Amino acid sequence: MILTKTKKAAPSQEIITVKGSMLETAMAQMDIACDQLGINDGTRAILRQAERELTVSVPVRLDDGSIEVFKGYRVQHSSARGPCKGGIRFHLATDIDEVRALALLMTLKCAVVNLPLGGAKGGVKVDPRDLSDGELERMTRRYAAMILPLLGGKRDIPAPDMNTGEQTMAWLMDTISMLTGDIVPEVTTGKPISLGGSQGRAEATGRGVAIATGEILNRLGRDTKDATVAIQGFGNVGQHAARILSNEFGCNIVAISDVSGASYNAEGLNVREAIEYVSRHPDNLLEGYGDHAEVEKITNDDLLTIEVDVLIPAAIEDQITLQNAERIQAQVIVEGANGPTTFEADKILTANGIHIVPDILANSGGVIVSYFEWVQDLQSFFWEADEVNQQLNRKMANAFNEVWEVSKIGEISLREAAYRLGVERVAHAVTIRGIFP
Amino acid sequence: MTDTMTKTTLEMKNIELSKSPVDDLAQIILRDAIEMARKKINPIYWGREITSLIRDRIFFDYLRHGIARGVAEGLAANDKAVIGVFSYETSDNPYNESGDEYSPDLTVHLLVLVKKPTEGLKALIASLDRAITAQMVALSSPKYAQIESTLDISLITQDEVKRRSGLAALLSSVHAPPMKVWPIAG
Repeated sequence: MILTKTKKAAPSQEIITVKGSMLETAMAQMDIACDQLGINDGTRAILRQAERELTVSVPVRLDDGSIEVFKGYRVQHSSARGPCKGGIRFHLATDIDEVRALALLMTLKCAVVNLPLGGAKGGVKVDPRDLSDGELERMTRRYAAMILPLLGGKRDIPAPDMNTGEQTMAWLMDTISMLTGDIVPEVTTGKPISLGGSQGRAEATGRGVAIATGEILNRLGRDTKDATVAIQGFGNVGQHAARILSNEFGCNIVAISDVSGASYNAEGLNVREAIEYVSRHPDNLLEGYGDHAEVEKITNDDLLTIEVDVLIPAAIEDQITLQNAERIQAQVIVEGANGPTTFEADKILTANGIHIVPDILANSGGVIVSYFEWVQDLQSFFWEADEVNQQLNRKMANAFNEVWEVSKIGEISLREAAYRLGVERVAHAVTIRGIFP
Repeated sequence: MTDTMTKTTLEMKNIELSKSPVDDLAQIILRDAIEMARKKINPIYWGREITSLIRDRIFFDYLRHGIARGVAEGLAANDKAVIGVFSYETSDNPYNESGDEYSPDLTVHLLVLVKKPTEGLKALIASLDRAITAQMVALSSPKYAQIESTLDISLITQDEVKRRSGLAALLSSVHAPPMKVWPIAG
């Protein structure tokens, strides 16, 4: 047998994908909210359309001297409530439809947590790992220059998303500063601390998830102390949420998981030990963790369906589905990941009386601290980590309580309430500002 | 090719001599991945030893990508049931607006879209994983001294993609879509 590698494509095989159940859910929720709020057709039409869409060509001279041209996008869905805010991604699957949809979701997300910001998204259709480090920098800078007319600290503030990070934001900020002649750290967020980034950014989403968990338990009359919690996904969000829930809220983390499997102890896991184990593991995984008597190895599916007070899906989309929704025993689900619950599963869980803190609220800690970074950059006055955490706590708690009240008054789920609140705020801003001219 | 690039080949020759066609393939995949990663980073770092380079985030990301692409090409070339190969990350919530964290996750996570899963393909994947892991351990980097596996590969079908079943649902993801590594356009 001779084994080979090939770069050739298989002949005429069409790869079929079904785009975005999460997006369908968001659109459906927005329509429901518009109906319930009696939003008129004109305002509804404005909400359904992006304000601005820019498609650009991004030519890059490659290291071998040749030129490649990439397609880039920036979509501003709404600036009704403030400057647009949203990430930039580098991905082969990026297209205008995807960017448009994600921009809409950013508008709603910022509105739900009452940030004075609108929604935007951007991206370049590229696999960044196909470019050298130098090529990637040139591409990023050219893309920044091409979308420059839309950007600005009081217009549109990008942030990292898939395959972009601190370095990308630093290049973006530097390019815009060079082209405008002003040093403008407020034009992006997600920057390194040394360039005006914020303290508390790394743990922001996990902390937000923990705060949302504490709030809903309080509202349900449950003491957070000793509430049992299972966390699916033990990466950045899962680890910080577990640590904060355990240390600051007194919760009992009984199950955690990642791609290598799940660990369970009905009496509670030692979170600090688990985090230390993962940091030492060559793949940063829980694989092999708890190979001693008191920790039971279970499957990821088991983790979702064990009897706990709180289940936190903090991994990837579509984890709670028609296949397992009926078996879920948690009293509360706090969505740390984006879209972990399918539309169909959501109906089953709600019918079964399970409270779901929706992703648009539960994992908004990241965008809230992004907002704090922008505020600090505008003031050139930077906060200590404690202050960032205090402000995040206040912002998340307020947002949760507002969603909770809408839910109670309208006798609707927290997800419906979050969308209703978000849509109402944007629609109100659109209406009160009026149509120019 | 520069002297530095040649050095990569010399380093690879120090790895245990191949014993089987799968070992050969693994060696080619790793050699190509290292060479590709070296070419992608800033030329001033080309002269560094592989054990030093591997600690660099940028090199490391390129290396993982090179392995993913090599494995994808290897599987596609040797099993006609393979329709497409996608790499994905297991990191949570990439949409968290907080910038990416350095995840030194060596494991290469792939979704292999097949007409039908076969025992032959599963066996090839298992063998390739063992062979690549052995090559990585042989790089003598403390980082890889204890690894037992390098590849996390799931076989998925078109039907599962349509039904959004299990990991196949990721292909429909809006927030964190996997990256196609084979076939490559053009």
